[in-house]
Amino acid sequence: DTPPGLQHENVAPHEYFKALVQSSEQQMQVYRQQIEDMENHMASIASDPSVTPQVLGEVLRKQHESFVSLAAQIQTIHEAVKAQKEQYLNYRKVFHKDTKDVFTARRK
Amino acid sequence: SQARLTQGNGELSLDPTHLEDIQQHLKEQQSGLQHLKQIIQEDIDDLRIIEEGLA
Repeated sequence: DTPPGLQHENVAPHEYFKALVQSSEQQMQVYRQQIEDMENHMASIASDPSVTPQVLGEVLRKQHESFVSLAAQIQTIHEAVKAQKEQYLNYRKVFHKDTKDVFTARRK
Repeated sequence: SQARLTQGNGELSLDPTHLEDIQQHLKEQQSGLQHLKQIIQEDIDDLRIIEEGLA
C-alpha cells in the first residue's frame, strides 16, 4: 500500500493515466464511426446499377487508400492500448499487491 | 487476389473488364474492416476494465 503521506503524489499520475485511457477509448470510437461510414459508402456504391466500372474502380482505389491509412492509425492506438494494459497490471501489482490478469480473466 | 490493374500515364487504373475481381476486392476489404472492428471492440472492452478499476 501507498504510505498515506504519499497519496497526493499519486493523484497526478492516476488522473493522467485515467485521461490517457479515456482518450484512447474515444479515439477508438472515432475509428469505429469512420469504418461504418466506409462500409455504408461501399454498400451504396456496390448496389447502384448506374455506377460505371470506371467510377467503381476509382471509388475502390480511394477506399483502399482510406483503408490502409485507417488500419495504420488503428494499429498505432492498438499498440498504445496494449502498453496501457501492461501499465494497469503493473499498477495493480505495485499499489494493490494483486497479480491477477484482469484482462484474460474476462475472456474466459 | 486483387482487381487487376493496368498502368497508364504513370497512374494506376483499373481494367474495367474485371468486374469479378472488383467484387472479390470489395469482399476482401470488407473482411479487413471486420477485422479492424474486432480489434476496436476488444480494445474498448479492455479500456473499460481499466476505467472501472481506476474509478
